[in-house]
Formats: sequence, C-alpha cells, structure tokens
Amino acid sequence: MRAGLELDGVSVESGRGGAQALDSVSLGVAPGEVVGVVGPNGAGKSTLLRVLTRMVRPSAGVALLDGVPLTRFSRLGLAREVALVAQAPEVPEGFSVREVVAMGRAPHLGLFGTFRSGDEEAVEHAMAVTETTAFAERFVETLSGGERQRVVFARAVAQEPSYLLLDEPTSHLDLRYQVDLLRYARAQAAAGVGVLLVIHDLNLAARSCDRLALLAGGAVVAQGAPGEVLQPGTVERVFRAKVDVLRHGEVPVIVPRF
Amino acid sequence: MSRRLLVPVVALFLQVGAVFASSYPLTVVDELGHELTLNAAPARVVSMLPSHTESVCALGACESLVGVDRASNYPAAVSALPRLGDGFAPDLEAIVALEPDLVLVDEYGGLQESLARLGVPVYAGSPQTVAETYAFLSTLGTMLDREAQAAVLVGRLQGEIAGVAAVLRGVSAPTVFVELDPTPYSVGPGSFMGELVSAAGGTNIVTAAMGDFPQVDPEFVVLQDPQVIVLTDAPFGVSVADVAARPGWGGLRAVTAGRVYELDVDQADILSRSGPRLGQAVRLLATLFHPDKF
Amino acid sequence: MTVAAEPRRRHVRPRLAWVLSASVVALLAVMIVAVGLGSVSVGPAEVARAALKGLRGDSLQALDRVVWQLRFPRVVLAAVVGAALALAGTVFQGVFRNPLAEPYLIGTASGAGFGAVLVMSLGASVPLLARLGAPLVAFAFALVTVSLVLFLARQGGAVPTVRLILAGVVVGSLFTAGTSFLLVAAREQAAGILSWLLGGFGFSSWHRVGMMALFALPAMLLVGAFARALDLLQLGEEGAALLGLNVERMKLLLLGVATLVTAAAVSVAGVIGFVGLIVPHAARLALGRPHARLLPVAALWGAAFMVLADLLARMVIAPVEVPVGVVTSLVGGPFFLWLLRRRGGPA
Repeated sequence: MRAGLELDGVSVESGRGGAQALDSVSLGVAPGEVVGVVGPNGAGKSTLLRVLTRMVRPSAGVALLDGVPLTRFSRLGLAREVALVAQAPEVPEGFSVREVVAMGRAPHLGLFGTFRSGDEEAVEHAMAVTETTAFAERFVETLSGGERQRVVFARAVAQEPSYLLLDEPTSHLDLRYQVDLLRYARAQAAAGVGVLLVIHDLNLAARSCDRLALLAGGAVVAQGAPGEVLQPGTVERVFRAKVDVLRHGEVPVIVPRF
Repeated sequence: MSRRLLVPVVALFLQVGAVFASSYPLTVVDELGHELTLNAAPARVVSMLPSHTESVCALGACESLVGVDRASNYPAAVSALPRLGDGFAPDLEAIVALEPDLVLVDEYGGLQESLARLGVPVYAGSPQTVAETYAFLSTLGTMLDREAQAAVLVGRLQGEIAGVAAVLRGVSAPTVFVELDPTPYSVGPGSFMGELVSAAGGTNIVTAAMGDFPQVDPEFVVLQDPQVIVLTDAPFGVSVADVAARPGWGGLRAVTAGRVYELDVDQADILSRSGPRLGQAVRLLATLFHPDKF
Repeated sequence: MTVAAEPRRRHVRPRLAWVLSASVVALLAVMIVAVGLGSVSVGPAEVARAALKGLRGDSLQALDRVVWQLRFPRVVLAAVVGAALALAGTVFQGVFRNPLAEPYLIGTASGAGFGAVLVMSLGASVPLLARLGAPLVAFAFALVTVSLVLFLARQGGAVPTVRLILAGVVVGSLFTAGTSFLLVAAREQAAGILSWLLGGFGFSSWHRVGMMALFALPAMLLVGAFARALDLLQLGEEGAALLGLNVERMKLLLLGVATLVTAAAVSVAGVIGFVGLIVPHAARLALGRPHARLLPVAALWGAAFMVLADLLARMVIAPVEVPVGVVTSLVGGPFFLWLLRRRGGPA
C-alpha cells in the first residue's frame, strides 16, 4: 500500500460538452512533501481538487488515498484524512477565531461529541502554528483578509489531516501574508502532512514547492522538480508569454519579457 | 244606506284616509346622507338585508318584493323569490335586471354607490338599536305608502316590550353572557342585541365601555360568573358541552344550574335582526332569563 | 502587529452562565407577574397559594380557579410556544444561513391556518371536523404542507435551500388563498376566524400545555444536541460536507424538527409572527452565533417575550382582548428596524 493522495488516469467531463475538464490526469502528493499545481486559468486545477475532495466524480480513472479508492471512505472518514482550504472560504459572522478553528475538530468529534483535552490541544496548536493565538477571542469578521485566511488555514490544521489541499490560498493577499501562508504550508509538510497547493504565482510556486505539476487544457503537461518543469519553452508554450528563466540557487525565477 | 249620507261618509273616509296616505313625490334622506326621491309608491321592491325583508312584509307590502338577498328566509313566502347575493357579494346585474323602483340595502359594502350610479332608487340604512328600528319602520312605511300599518306595528312592538317590562317589575335581573362566537365575541349594552337583553330583564356582564361587539378575555367571563349564558353561535356547532369543557367555565353558575341555552337557527335569526320580530326576540330572551314568569 | 483596514472591535462577550441565569430569573419573574395580572390583579402570595391548591387537586373557588385554571395554563403555554418559535427561528436562520428566515418560511403557518379555518367555517356542517377540533386538523394540514414542499423541492437526492424557499412560497400562497376564500365565504364566523389567525392564548388549558410540551421539549433536546452541526452549516454546505457532515440529512432533520414544533405552536395559538424572526437576532447580538449558547438563550428570551406580549394583549384594553399577533408585530416591527439601522444590515 503506497502512501499518498493521488489521481490515477482521472478524466472528468466538462458539463458543457466539448473538451474535458480533466484528461487522463495522473499526479499525487506523498506525506511530507509540498506539491504545487500550476497552469493557466481554466486548466482544470480547481476541478482536480474537487475530485480529491469527492465533490466531483471522475468519468474515468480513480482517485486513491493510500492506495484505497476515495469512494470507499465514509464522509467522516475522508474528512479525517483530507482537509481543504477553499479559494474564497465562507467565514461566518458571529464566531470567535477560536470557535472557527475549533470547527476543524468536527470530523474527530462525531456529531454531538464534546470537546476533550486532545481537541483543545489541537486547536491551540493550530492557532500557534498560524500565529493567530493573539486574536483567539476576536470575532472573525473583524479581521483583515490576510488574518482571516490564516484562521481558515488554522482550521484545516486543527483537522489534523494526513493531506492538506490549498486552493489558491495566496490570491488577493499582500506579500507578507502570502509568504506567511506558504511558510505554514511548508511547516505542515515538515510535520509529515502531504500538501497539495494550487497556486497562480509561478515564482511563489517554484520557491515553496518540492515538486510542480503543470496543467494545461485539463492534461498534465509536465511534472517534476520546479527547475525541470519551468523551462522557458514550456512556459512560453503553455502561458503564451515570452519569459526568461533565471536561477536563484536551485529555484527558477520567471521574468517576463516585454 | 240612504244616498244622502253616502257622500259625507265617503268624504269622511277619504279625509281620514288622507291623513295616513303618503303624498308623492316624496324625498327621504338615508343613513349615508343621500337623498332619495320616490315618485309613486314602489311596486317592485328589492331587499338586501333579512331584517328589511321582514319589515317590508310586516307592513303588508310583501307582494311588492321582487327579489331578496341570500339570507332572507322569513316569512316563508319570500323563499320563492329570486336570490340576489348578499350585501358583500351582491348580484348587481340581477338586481338591475329586475327593474326595481326601490332597493333597501345596509350602509356598509358599497352597494348604495353602485346602485345610485346606475340610477336605481336605493335607500341605505340599517337600524342598530331598538329606537332606530322604530324610526326605520316609520320611514319605510312612508316610503311604501304604509304609514298606517307602520304606526300600528311600532305601537304593537312597544306594547310587547312594555308588557314584558310590566311582568318583570321589581324582579331582579340575572347576569347574562351572550356569546356571538366562540373566540369569544359578545355584545355590548349599546348594540341591538344588548338592548334586547335589558328589555328582557337581564343584566349584560359586558359593560358599555367595552364597546358594542367586543372580543372578550375568557377570564372576564369566569370572574363575572354569569347566571345565564345564551349561545347564539350554537347553529355553528357550539354546544353546552363545549362551553362546559372550557378551562374554568365548568364551574360557572350558568353551567352548573343548566342555564346555558343553545339557540336554534330560527331563534338566532330573530335575535340578530333589528326588525318587526323584536318583540318576539324580547319575549324569547325573557323566557330564558325568567322561566318562572313566562 | 496587524494592519487592519476595518475597525477593530474588542468584543468582551458576556459570560454565558451570567446571561443564562439572568434569563431564567427574568423569565420566571415575568411569568409570576403575568399570572398575577389580568382583569383582577392577584399578588404573588395568592398565586403561590392557588398553585399549591391546584397541584394538590383541591377544588377551587372563584379567584383561585381563575388563577389556576386560566392564568397559569395561559402563561405557561405562552412561554412554551414562545420558546418553540424562537428555537425554530434560530434553526431556520441557521440552516438557511439567512437572517430573514423564520419558522413560517416553508408554508407551515399557511397550511395550519387553512386547517384551522376549515374547521371553524365548516365545523357545523361537517361534524367530523368539529369532533377532530381545530388544533388537530391544523397540525395535520401543516404536515401535509411541509411534505408537499419537500416533495416539490427535491432534486436528485438533495433538497437545495433555494428550491425549498420557492416551493414554500408557492405552497404557502396556495393555502393562504384557500384560507382567504373560506374567510370570505364564512361571513358570520369571519371575526372569530380572523382573531384566531392573528394569534391568541384565550382558551389555553393544561391539556394544551401538555400537548405543546410533548413537542417542544424533545425538539429542544434534539436541536440542542445538534448545535454543533448548525455551527458547521455556517461554513456553507460544501464547507460543512468537507468537515464530514452529512449535510442533506442534517438539513432535513433540523428543518423537520423545527417545523413540527412550529406546526404544534400554530395549531395551538394561531399564527403569531415576529417571535421566530426577532428573538434569534437579539440573542445573536448578545452572544454571537455558536448555537450551543444561542439556542437555550433564544428559547428563554422567546418564552419571556411571548408571555409579555400576551400580558399586553390582555391588559391594554382589558377586559377586551387584542390578538397577540398584533402585539408582536407592533413590538417586533420597530425593533427589527432598529436592528437594521444599528448593524447597518441584519446580523
């Protein structure tokens, strides 16, 4: 049994007929690594995440968690293993930060379970690693966008998942918060969580991910270390933009040519 | 009779008769303030209120009725007449098609306006008290050229009431609760039914300050502990058993003494119509309030 | 440390224990006062005495009878109905994630109203209806209404909230039309029917209190047990599903329980508006949204509000009664307006 959350030859029909949303995609993330999924808009990145959270069913291929098809898991079982930080998460009014983070414990509590000390610790830990402990008692709606995103991340951490999925977590955030969030993602990977990160910004992706998968038109165009995937020819072909690829140590840096 | 006496006697009759004959054209003002001019004694009368129907017939003008409302059911003769809806949902076309020369309506519901606009002679009004009933009967008598009959009728009704009063002189009046509806709704002393209650020697537990048709707190009835309860809503299914089952009402004097009276449809009609049967109404109530005297 | 663009409100939330105990005390006080007041005022000592006698089963005279057989059941029923409606309102606002949701949203009141009016207008000609009685028929129709709404709103295996609301509007209008028709057709009973529709506790009895409690108490326990699920639903249906919640089943369960208890309330007391809308708001203002805290407080405040409204309805032009629904609207309307202006939008 191979550890990892992966898609194996997964295809997903696009609702509107025509080209498929995902075309025979095979990729995955192993515990302890950060895998970035990049590609132009409409490439199928979000669909990919939806397959991994069982929101969408593949028309071909299978999604596996540690070798077991996702369909074999119960809803609760899956929630204990996989956590998603959505792109524009609903942040409900009227809850304190601590209460929102505590919601992440739900899969471990059962329906009307009460909080035990283990759960309290998980919440405290989640807030500590996302540096949100300082506003634990504040209403979530009083926080800035960047602070709120940290809280949502903390909730996912509190879920104590084996695999963490992040859908464009850094869009609309100031650089400072972008960096923070990616730092937390890497820290989670260091703690043994498999992190799959859908990200827009190629440079941030290159810097923060161990591996990249480049998606275009629903298919995987390239997979591997950032340096291998982000070749100038590949980038120009997929993104239709002229670029130079520089090196910062091992990490490629994309510089657009005007 | 010798011919020499014939002329003076006829002249005498004519003169006496003239006193009691209406003179046309006559103009009356109805309760909405509108003027109505009648050029001759109406021969085709439409009544849109059961009490009006009864009044017209009591004045001896039943044959002039050509149409009545849905609820009119007394006297029996009117059942054969065409039904024209009722005050709130009148069959305007049918009314007009009958070509009436007088339509009697109540002052609510806008029927007066519709008919007046169509040029149909209409009188809008409905008596709300005993005194108003007498006045209306007189006015109706004038309109229908039945003034003599009206005077006689009013006199008779007054006499009936006076008769009841005479029997009840010095007799104590029991406390009475009249129920219109199980919410409960009742009647105040200023209403027509309220006046009948006092004329029949009863003391209404509802006071004048509470209005003419108040929705009453059931607690109030329990506290007042009436000696007699009259269920005018019995035709709609309210029974003595229902009343006794209400919380707190089981212990009322009226209930324990068996003096909760269910009225039948006819009795409920008599009580609610401010017309020529008000004497009967008072008598009916007096029988319930003072069974030993009537 | 943080650069925040929005104003930072340091919320010092009142301790739950304090609010709860204060609410309980307030409710009890309000109930005692309400039992004491009426067309005849009775002091608390007499109230206690009458209660003791009543509980022991002694036969009661005059004032004691009024207090024990009329006032007590009335006040207790008002409290239970108020709590039930506030609870249902909180559940509806939680499930629909909309602050304007309230217990009558999916047609329950329209159906129940139709059933009751059917009995009141046709009871005389159809003895079966009269024998069943308005509350039972009202309840039956409420269930029929909600079943119809659920059936219409179903799509695949789920009941999307938008379809639910639309179906509720459609079915509700149907029954409201039926009620209006009956109202016009049964002219003589119109006043009584209208009074019932506007809500009232006129003939509350211990029997009715028992019936209502039979629905309300289990409902409160059940909903309370699923308070956490209600919290999770605030993350959106997807967000909640991702945390392991069976969203469709939970929605049906919560709405089902809330509807049952609403149907019972309407069957017993008519259509009393605003309580299910306003009380959850007020409680949220004080305590925030976590339902484990919100539900009990909303229930307590709903109970107190209803008892007060009924007191006003009885006292304002005593001994003439104003329908309770009129009082709750008169109070609820301006309060709602104030809420909107204060928050710049519903909470």
